[in-house]
Amino acid sequence: MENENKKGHLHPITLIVNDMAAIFRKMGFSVADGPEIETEYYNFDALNIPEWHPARDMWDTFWLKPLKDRRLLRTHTSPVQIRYMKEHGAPLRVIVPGKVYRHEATDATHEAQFYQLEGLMVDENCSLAHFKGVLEQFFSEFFNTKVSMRLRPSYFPFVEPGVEADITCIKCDGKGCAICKQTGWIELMGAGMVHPKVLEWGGVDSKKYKGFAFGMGIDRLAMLKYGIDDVRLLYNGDLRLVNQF
Amino acid sequence: MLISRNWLQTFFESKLPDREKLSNGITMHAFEVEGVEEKQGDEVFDVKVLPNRAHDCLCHYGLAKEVAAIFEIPLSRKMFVKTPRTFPQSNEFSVEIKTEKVKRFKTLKINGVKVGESPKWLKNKIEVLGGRSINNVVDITNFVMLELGQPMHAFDADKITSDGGVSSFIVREAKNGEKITTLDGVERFLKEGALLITDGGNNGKTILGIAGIKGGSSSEIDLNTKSVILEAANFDAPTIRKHSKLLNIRTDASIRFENGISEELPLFAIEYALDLIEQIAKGDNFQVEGEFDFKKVNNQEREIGISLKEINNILGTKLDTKEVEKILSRLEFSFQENNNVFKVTAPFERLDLEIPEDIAEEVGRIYGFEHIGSVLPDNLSQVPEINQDFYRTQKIREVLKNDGYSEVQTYAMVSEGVVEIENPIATDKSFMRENLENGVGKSLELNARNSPILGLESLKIFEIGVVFANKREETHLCLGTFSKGKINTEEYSLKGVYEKFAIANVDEGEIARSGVDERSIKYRSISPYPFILRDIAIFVLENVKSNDLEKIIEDDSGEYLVRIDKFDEFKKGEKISYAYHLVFQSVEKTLTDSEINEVMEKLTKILNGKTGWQVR
Repeated sequence: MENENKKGHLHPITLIVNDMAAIFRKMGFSVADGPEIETEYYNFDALNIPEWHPARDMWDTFWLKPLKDRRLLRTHTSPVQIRYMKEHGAPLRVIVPGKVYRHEATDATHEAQFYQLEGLMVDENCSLAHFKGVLEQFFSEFFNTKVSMRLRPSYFPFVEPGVEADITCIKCDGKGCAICKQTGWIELMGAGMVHPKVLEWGGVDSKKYKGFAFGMGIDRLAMLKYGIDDVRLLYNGDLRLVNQF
Repeated sequence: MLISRNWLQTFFESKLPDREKLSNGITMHAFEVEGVEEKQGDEVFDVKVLPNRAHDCLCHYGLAKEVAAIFEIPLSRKMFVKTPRTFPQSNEFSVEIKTEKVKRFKTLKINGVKVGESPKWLKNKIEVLGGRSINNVVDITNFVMLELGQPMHAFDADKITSDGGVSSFIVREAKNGEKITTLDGVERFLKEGALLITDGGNNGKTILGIAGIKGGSSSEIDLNTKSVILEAANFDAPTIRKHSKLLNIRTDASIRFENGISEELPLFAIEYALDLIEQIAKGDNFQVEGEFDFKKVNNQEREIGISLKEINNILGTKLDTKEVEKILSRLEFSFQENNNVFKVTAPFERLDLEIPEDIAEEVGRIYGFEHIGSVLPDNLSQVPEINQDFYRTQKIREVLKNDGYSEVQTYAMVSEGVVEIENPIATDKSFMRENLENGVGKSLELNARNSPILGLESLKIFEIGVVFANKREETHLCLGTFSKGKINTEEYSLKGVYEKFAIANVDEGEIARSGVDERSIKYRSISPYPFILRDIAIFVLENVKSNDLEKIIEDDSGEYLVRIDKFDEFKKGEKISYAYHLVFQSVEKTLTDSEINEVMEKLTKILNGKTGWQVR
């Protein structure tokens, strides 16, 4: 067989994560990680999402037995914000690629497990314009084409102001196509300026420092970048997918 | 929240912008408009009101205020400007509040009401948003909620126990297991702490409604109702949310209460509903008998201070005082400016405005977040610390790849393990995996079945992922091989691998060399249909190269050939024999044997037609 001495292939999620780490590193961001099993405190309370807050509906959660322990599968990589701030203090720049879990029905575009990239920058001089600058730079390198970003209002309890960030469609350059549903824009992530309460819970002086934070789906980026049409293929160990990379 | 254009238009004298402009403006400055539907000569906008504004924007007036600020068109109908009327205290009805979870409870007793069908305009308003018209009084309470965001309820006063013409409510918390038949005819069992509106005449034994969630059938308004108790209240948001979840009932009322609306709203809602009842449900001897009003705390006006500099520092803008003033005015906030510091008094209904950042957000969104520029931070070149675990794992992946291993990922939620999920999505996914071996083994089985299409006779794969033990999680590496029908897996903790293979710490130089991957890979969809495998062996003249032969086979095997792999080659005299696996597959259908037989026959004929070639 001629494949005996052939090289293997890396999983597309790995390729994307490596890319992300390399691009953000050039902008001074290091990489952090955190546990996949989280406490209710880090996943919700310390992110300004108290129990019985309607915003909790934004994250469908897997709880672990016994329920009284209040342990869960993290629904986002945001808990690492708090953990990292506590450990490193300000100023800081970090990205957190990691697996997260959501209690939702699976189909070609939804999985109950997927990867998210969290980003956090805390500095004395830090604004939404910096967020936009850093992320436009990131996406332009990532998609290897000049990308512009558009911000619009959104809400996440751990940021204020909160925004949704869209990028110009990388397939049609903003002209309108099937990928961007003829809008010219692709909705990619939630973001915002870190809520002062969250900075304080992370032990950072919110009078002196400001920060921006963002979270985006890595699977979705893999699907966009490579044209993968079914997210479930990423997690069934199928080499028909992996060996194309 | 569904918003009717015609309804929205009632707040403005000037004509609202067209559909596209309106949708776009609301999306870019307030909430995403998810769709617009033409309905009964109206346009219904599906507006995804954000959770932090659900307390004031799940109603038409809330949206109207946003539209006024966004498009700078004046509201011609302002609902909260006039101080609401007060009414004499009721002599016939009172309320006893026996719980801390009620923040406000206001009622108005109206006698001489005539219940009947709603007028056309009211029916239309309810129905265009997908509701069902019940009768004029009930429709009015729903209309007021959809206009102002305050849920209301109307009780038939004569269905409540009265003692010498005097009746009352007791508002209290439920005991575990109490039950009520709600308006939809369903019997519901309550959990301890649910808020109840009960009949005071029999000491609170008869439950009239689950406060803030759903009314009961025993006191519902019907065509014979003459005397009405209108209620507009404010209940503790977490309690409503908790019990609405426990009861599994979400109603227009509970959705609004769980978001914590303003305690001032009942004043406006009661007055508005009364005006409408007077207009369309007035009977003989119509009389506003009197009100009851309970209020737990007095609303404090919230004044929030923020400087121009702070606003610009948060947003990354260069707004001047005039621009900020103009935006605050568009939002109808009252404010004072002194030395570039703004003191903003939040409107009573805007409970989300608490801290300076909230004001910055308001300025930012009306100004338009899309107008914020891009600025790269200073010190971009600062060298970040190295996360050794991350980069050493990258290194292990590279080593394995170079050794022929391909990386897979398998599902973390499985059928057995020690960490159990309370609410799994499926029974075979109710535990967190305690090893990678099982997943990797299954992956090998799957890929072995596909080996012809993969062009692989043996398989080498690996997975790196987290496994879960009791109260502990750890990252593992699992290697898996498949060769000559045999599956083999080996699993290690990643920490152990660092030691075993002496994976050294990664330095700056190594990271720099790893760089950004510039390959442009275009993924080809995996066909869900089965493949067909055929072999072909052929003698050709010894000067014929395998590559050229492959090219000819590819060209003459039709559109379904997806793979060609050489598996044998030998020389005999002046001829050379090549043998290939041919894999056929369609992305649209299951191929039949006879279809492929035809292809093979045609191919054989073509190959045999060449001088000195012979298919074996």
